[in-house]
Amino acid sequence: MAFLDLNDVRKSFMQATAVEMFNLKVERGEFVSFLGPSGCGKTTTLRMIAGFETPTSGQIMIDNTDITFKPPNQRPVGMVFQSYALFPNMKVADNIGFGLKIAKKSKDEIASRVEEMLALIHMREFAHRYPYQLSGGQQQRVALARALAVQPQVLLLDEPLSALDAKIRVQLRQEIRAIQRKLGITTIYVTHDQEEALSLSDRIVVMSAGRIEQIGTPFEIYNFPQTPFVASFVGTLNALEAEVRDASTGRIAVDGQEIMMAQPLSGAVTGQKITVALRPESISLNGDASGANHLQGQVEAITFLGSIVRIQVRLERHLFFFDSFNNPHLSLPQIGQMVTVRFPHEACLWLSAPQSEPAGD
Amino acid sequence: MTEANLAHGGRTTLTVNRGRRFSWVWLGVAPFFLFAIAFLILPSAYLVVGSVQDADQNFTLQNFGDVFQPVIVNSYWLSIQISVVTAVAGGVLGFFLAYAAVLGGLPKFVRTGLMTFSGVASNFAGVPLAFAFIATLGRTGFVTALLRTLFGLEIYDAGFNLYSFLGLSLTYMYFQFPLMVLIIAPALDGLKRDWREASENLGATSWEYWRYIALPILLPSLLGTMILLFGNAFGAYATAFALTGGTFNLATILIGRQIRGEVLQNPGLGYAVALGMVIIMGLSIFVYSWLQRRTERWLR
Amino acid sequence: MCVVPAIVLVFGMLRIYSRPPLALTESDTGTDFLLIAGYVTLSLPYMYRAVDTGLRAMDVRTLTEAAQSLGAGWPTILLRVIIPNLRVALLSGAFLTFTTVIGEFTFATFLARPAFGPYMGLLGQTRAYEPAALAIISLILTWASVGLIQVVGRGAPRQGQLAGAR
Ligand SMILES: Nc1ncnc2c1ncn2[C@@H]1O[C@H](COP(=O)(O)OP(=O)(O)OP(=O)(O)O)[C@@H](O)[C@H]1O
Ligand SMILES: [Mg+2]
Repeated sequence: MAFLDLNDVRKSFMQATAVEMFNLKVERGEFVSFLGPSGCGKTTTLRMIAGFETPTSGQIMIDNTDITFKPPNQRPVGMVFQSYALFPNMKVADNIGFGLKIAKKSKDEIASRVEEMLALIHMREFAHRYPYQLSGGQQQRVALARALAVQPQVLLLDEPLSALDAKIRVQLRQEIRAIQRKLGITTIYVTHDQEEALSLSDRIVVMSAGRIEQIGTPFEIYNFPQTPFVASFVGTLNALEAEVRDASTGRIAVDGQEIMMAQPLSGAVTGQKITVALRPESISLNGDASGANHLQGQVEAITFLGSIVRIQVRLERHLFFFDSFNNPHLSLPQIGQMVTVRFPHEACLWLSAPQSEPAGD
Repeated sequence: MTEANLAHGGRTTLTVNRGRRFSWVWLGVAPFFLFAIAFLILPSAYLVVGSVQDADQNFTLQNFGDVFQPVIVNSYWLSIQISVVTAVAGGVLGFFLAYAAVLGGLPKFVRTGLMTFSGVASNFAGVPLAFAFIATLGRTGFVTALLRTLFGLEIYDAGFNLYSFLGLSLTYMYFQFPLMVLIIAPALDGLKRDWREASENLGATSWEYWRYIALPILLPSLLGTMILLFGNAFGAYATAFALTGGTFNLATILIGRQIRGEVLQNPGLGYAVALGMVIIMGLSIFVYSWLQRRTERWLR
Repeated sequence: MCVVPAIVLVFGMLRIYSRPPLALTESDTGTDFLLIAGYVTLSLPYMYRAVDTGLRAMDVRTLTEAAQSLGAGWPTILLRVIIPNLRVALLSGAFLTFTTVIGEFTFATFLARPAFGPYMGLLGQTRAYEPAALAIISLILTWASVGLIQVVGRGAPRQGQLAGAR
């Protein structure tokens, strides 16, 4: 039995359904991210785990105890809010010690635990400041310490870094992960930033429109997206529509130009429309020898992104792009120029059709 | 000497520079200052000066000693009592009404209705308010008669009197609690849902949330607004005058009679009484804005 | 709410402006002027509050700089940018002042002007039923003003509606 277990959880508000058929099993100590676009139901799911929303149907278990209808103040769950939600009338130390005070712990115990937490977030010298005297990053650290001080069994973080600027975001997310590892606490982390999810998580739950699209390790999610949505939302895959020419050999056509997949398309029939994903990093320009597939198109845009240069190419209907490592001697094509790009068979992935069942775990 | 010159010279340059840059600004606010001097500062200053002069316009502090005669002390005491009672009662009532309307989960029209009513009621003061209460709760008032016919209840026999402390307090309450509603409703709006949820998440009950978080956050606003209500009642004249015909010995009524030349017979003492009011009002406004700033600092 | 209560203010004004060199109360016009000045003084705190709320809500600095960068001069900025944005604040302040002043008693009585307030006071001492009618008229006027404040303020940040008691 998994440590945290969401079983067929569904939540609807009035008419609209925010979360549907949510099945997830999280092991003890695991770090799982919910990733998805705005409004896809990440916060709603998290709030059901915390007890701020009651599922319309389904069941939530922590350590084999059904907590579906437990009030939030009786759940062994700590939450870190996007807005920090520090109590403005309390100093940092009192904020961190609040949960312990509510639990009627002794003064000494509270003091030593607060001290420990302050050390954990490297903010010893800020104990006697008010929240308004702290920067956003510091406030979020205090919020984390406050949630951890009561030693919850599950830690929930709802886009904890989205209000911070890029630099501190990267630093703090690593800090959060380090603390999580050290305490071994089961963690759910909500984000709509795919880089954050990929770099932090043991597993990622990709969501769209209230449903789970795919659950998997960052490696699986990135390299083997199972739906067009995952392919386009995670990483920077090109999702192209293709027509099956010969399922047994994996021959397909994109805008009339034929390419080969690495494997046969079992289950597909000739003439069927399928979606394939094309990795931008395995495509290269004309001159390079590698790659058995080739496509011809017109360069539409060239974007300089620092270490890489992103080139957009238009086929007849489709637009796709690929990345080239930047080097001073790079000879770039001109906009409007016709180019031929090459890529290996393996760079081309078959994505399940959109209407098929979302992949479970 | 040199240093002084230097400093002086430095300052002059500064003034000249500023003078040039800011002259239009000063010209813009000049009418306001002239007006304020003529109709706010001068009259107030006159009271200050008058209060330290005797009948022959010699300097004296005698008036401040004389302020402690029973008639004056009693009038102040009565004013303070009625202001404190109506401020606290109105404050508590207004707070719970606003709480019910803002956080009570009632339909939105309840809130709109309460706010509109409060806007009207807090501004419906003075003579017409007194008349309205006489017409409803006076000896021959509508509600008095209604209670008599419906329940056989004779409120005036039961000890109620509109022209007493209780009656005047009741009348003041009509503008006191709506004022509280108007000021505290936005403060209640300012309580973030996240605070409540964070506290629940940490194990707190609803009561503990109010005890440790909501009330401490609201406390400065609550106290501040009550102080505002205090000042509001303390400075009121027309309502009390119209209700009791000037027989009720409030500080404002006393000053009114002094203006008419009916009491005290000592102009300087009259000024001292008026000055005392200004000092009390000033103190309450000072405490109010101090508390207000405190809240703003937290909630930035 | 003003630090100086109305009764104290009129006290001071009467003493200053009823004797030379500034004997305004000698003539009716002078007294009316004094009355108006008194009312303006009373309205200053909440008028200030209303305008302050309005100014805070509109970010004057950015608006001014935007207008300047588009080549507007000071008169244009003031008349066509700032004041239109303050319309709600100014109007609600004005309606509030109207409510306060229409039945004002203290100033009008002591300056001995036959305004609506003293008229009500007089009637209250001599008649039995008319005062109730006047109270209703007054209440309707207050409702109307507050209603107008809410109508002009629709969709704008909440304006203060507090004039303080009398
Ligand atoms: N209290 C509510 N009442 C009605 N609808 C709601 C409520 N809370 C959320 N929803 C709806 O449920 C859906 C999912 O919302 P949710 O807040 O879970 O999204 P999210 O994935 O967290 O998005 P974001 O990344 O923007 O935070 C949205 O369409 C939202 O409008
Ligand atoms: Mg969300």
